[in-house]
Amino acid sequence: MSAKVIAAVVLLAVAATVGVSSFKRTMTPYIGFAEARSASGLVQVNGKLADKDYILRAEEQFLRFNLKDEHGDVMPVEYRGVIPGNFDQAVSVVAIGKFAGDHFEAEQLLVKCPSKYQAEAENQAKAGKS
Amino acid sequence: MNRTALTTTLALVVPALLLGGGLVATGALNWGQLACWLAFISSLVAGFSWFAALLGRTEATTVARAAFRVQWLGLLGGAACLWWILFSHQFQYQYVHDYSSRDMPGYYVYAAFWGGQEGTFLLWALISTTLGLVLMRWRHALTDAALFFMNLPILLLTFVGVVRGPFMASKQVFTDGVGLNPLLQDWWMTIHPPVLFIGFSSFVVPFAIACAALLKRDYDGWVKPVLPWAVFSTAIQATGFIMGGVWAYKVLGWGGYWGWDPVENGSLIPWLSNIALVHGLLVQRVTGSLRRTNFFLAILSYVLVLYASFLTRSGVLADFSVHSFAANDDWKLPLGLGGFLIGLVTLAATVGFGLLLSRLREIPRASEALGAFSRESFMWLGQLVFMLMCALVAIGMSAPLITRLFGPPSNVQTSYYNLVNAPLAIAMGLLLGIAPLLRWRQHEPGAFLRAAVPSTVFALVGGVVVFWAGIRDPMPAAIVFAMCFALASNFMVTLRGFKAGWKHGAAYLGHMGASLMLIGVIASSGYGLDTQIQLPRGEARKALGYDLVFQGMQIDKDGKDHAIIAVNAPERKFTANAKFYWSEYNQGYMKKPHIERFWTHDIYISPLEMVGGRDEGGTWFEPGETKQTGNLKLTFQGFVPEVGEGRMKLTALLVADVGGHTVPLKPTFEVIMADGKRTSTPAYLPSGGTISILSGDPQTGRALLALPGEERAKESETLAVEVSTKPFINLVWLGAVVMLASAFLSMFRRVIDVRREQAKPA
Repeated sequence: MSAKVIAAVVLLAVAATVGVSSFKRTMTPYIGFAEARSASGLVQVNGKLADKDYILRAEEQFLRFNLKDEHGDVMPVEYRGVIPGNFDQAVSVVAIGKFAGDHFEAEQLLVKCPSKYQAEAENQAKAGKS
Repeated sequence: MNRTALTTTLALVVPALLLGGGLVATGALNWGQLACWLAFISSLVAGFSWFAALLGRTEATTVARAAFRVQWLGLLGGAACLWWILFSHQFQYQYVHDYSSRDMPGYYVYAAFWGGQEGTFLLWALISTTLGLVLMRWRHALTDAALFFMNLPILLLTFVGVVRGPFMASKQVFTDGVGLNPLLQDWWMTIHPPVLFIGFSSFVVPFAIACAALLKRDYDGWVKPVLPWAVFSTAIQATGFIMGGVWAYKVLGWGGYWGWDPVENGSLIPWLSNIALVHGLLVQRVTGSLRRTNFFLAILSYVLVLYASFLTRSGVLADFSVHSFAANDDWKLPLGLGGFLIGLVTLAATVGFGLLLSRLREIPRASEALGAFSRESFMWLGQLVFMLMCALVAIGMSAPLITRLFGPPSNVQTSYYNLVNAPLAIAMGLLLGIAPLLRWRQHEPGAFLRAAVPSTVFALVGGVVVFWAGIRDPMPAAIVFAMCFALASNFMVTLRGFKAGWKHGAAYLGHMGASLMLIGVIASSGYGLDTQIQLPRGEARKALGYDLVFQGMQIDKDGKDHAIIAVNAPERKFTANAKFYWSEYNQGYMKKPHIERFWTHDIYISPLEMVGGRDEGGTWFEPGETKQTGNLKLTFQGFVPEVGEGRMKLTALLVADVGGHTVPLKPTFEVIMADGKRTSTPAYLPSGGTISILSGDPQTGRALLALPGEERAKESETLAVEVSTKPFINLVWLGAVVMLASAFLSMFRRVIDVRREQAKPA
């Protein structure tokens, strides 16, 4: 086998190994609340605000709210960081993080708000550090 | 255009316009729809005529070419119509209502053309057809076959124009439009999207020429003419990236120039595969090898363009991206927009790869093997690295679709892309440094080692410098080392090349640009300082060694609010002026960072959030809605309006619950009609603090209330900002400019080659 073929095989092997391991390491599954409660590692959940009883302490950059999925399952979510300004108008919230005992600890929130003018279109705002 | 062509064109246009004009007069169509129909029918005629020509009826090419020109005229007419209805504010068109408004300045009205998907498809078709007209001028046996293949995707795009163009009537009567998303309201919006569309569209040309070459069994003759097109795609797409990067950095306040977002990845993957193609074509031109690879890459690049359009435009990634367009279910296309885009991908892939498979066994093998230690072997490895980058990015961006097959759909974090590309970047740097020093076919290893001494020394010095400067993690340090190596090798080769004439140095200049840019990327994205801090108005705070004082908000010339922050940095004192205003459209704050530039770094101050109320602050309540802040639970039952002579008074019925203790509250809001003067009378909470009405919406009965926290905050508003430094960011811009210059120079060089060939007597 010539040197260049060996080099190509090495490149392929490195790329495949790094690719597979990075994929597994950074994968955040989009799952239901039940799985999220038992999952290890970062996951994403989505849902709607269950009610308007949320706690927002802007000075401490702390937010706690109840997220409700399409089956009606409710899970408390806590988030520390810059609070999206349009949070209370959200029609849909995606939280990325992990379950911590009694609540979901979100590292990042994706908040989708209804546009004031376009009923169909959804505008999205990004919060948190990415 | 000769006389026959002109006659044929007129013979097609005149009856079409007469018939169409009649339809417009009866009101069945509007002018824009007529133009779209004209384009679609011409595209059909052109397609069938070229098909007939491919089957041997060569005289049909005259009709095909004429129809293609008419199609271009139709699309041009459609574009003119769209701009006309936008500029004349004809809100009876849904598109005009959705993407423009009366108060928009002219250059945004102009950009509203590509504000929505329908206009984008029209622009895509128009640009592709324009490129087809350029290709038509190429005198070559493959031209008409190539135009046939090029017309296939255009046919589908013009079909969209007919079924769902931007000329649909509004569902109701509007007197004004929504306007363009403020996120898109920037000077860059007028130039960045069209450039990216030209880049995206241009990949169709190498695809079409490759298909034509496969069909006509011309396995080598396509290389020379396709090179300028492939290099053009590289150059124009790179221009688009760089503009996008500058926009993201200077305007959107991401703090970076690249975010591995699906839209960015989608434009990156065809570009990577196209660069692999360019290098493969160069190898094939000299040594006659890599024939199949090049066909594969030319087809793949366009298939990836279409695949990326599917991912970002169909809404399949809507839950995973901030950037992707939302799904539109009311598209009247068979199977919806997603189905249509999948159809486009399938068409291009079936035609292209089908042709390649059918010819695969008869494509002659290389007349000579790749030399063991030669430039072409290293270019082949470089191609492989590009393809691996392309594949890994494509897998990452498709993660939600791939994982859906095995379980819950998952996304990968953006760190995935950095992790997988880092080792490949090292390989890339080393190959970039080695290949240009080698001769084609065979090189003496001993001679190479001597030639590589200066680059190695430079790379080692560079490595020591960055280690001393603080880049100590092995991966980034190795990338910088490899890039220094590439930079030095290509510097020597560029100098040598330019001495022999600009044509010989242009390409290596691009390698230098790429290495400089990557060094800048590593330094600025991985080694800057970054912190978030809250700035109460008028109080000094320290961040990263800078003293910052938030001085308040100011309305700037553009009518938007700006946050003014006085910064005392060791380098210099300056006043940061960051745009930061509430957008009704997005129901969120629009922000633009302040960037203070220095030779060696930038100080980047990005406003994040206003903590506490501003005039636009307060909380909206629907009638009957309850909200909680702190220990206060407030229910808004509704308004009691009183209309007197020349005045209107609103009383809000509220129930406050503080720690289980319930009290009714009645703040009022009075407007004197004559002068518009407003008086808001607050209601007092038993626990202290007030609640007042800021505004009301009579139609929906909603109330905007200032809650106690918000009232207090109003007196001492606090701005949350992110302060960061971007070391050596200027290397990124410098590298980018050098790379672009090289790409365009290389393109001209390849155009000159083709021209010279055509000028030769056959």
